[in-house]
Amino acid sequence: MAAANDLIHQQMRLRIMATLNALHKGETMEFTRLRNILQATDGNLGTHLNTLEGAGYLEIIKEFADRKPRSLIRLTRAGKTAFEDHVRYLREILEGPPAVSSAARRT
Amino acid sequence: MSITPEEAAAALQDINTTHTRSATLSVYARFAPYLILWGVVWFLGYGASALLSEGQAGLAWPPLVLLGSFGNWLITRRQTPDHGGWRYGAIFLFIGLFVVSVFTIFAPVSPRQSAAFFPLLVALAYLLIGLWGGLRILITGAVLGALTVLGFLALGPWFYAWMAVVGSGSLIMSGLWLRTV
Repeated sequence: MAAANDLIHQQMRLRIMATLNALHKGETMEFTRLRNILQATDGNLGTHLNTLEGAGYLEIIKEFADRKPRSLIRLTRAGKTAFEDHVRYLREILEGPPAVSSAARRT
Repeated sequence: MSITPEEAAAALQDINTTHTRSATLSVYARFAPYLILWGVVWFLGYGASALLSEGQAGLAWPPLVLLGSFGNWLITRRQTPDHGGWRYGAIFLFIGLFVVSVFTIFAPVSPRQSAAFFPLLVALAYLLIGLWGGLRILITGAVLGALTVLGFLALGPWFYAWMAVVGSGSLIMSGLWLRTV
């Protein structure tokens, strides 16, 4: 059975991960857009993003566009894997662990 | 950490809702620049059709369409550098072949009829994409199609001006609408 991820299993962080996980490969999302989608405040979102970045689950790219600073955010490979593992864990709570085939059991 | 089945179900529901919303808004954000680009192209093209003679307007459209297609390609390349490729060219080839075939079968086609046909084709594409892409794209297709038919049937000589202002305006407004969260 997959394991729970305490860091991800917090409502806002779960939403952040779900939002970023819906992006195409290599695609980033601007901080302001993420904030609007999640209807979060700057401070609240920033705190959770820092926590997730510290865990290596997402990458925050700071750059200038038209002389204005902006932050672009995307999941890292580790973040994507951690999110998918946690979702699998949640599903297994509801549906039970996946059945092991007889061939796999013999090995 | 212990999570009850109720908490797991609620979390999964939350994830699903957030994912769907994020994916739809991502499609909208990708779609918006195309609408704004073609809104500007249509404004110039239909504006030329409204103000110039048929011959002069006929000369204005090809470079505008080429410019629009180039802009289209640039947007696609910027958004999906690892996608498209030859398929992107194939889309234009297929659409071109379809249009030439239709116009050959229904010839003679008046400039006014052909000016109504292209927006209808675009409206149909948006309706079909909107079935999967999201409600806002579907609405854009429906509005564009309805405005085109209305202008063609009811406005006679003002059709080109109608398309320049209302047709292109609806595309640009839709593009701006798609960019909002």
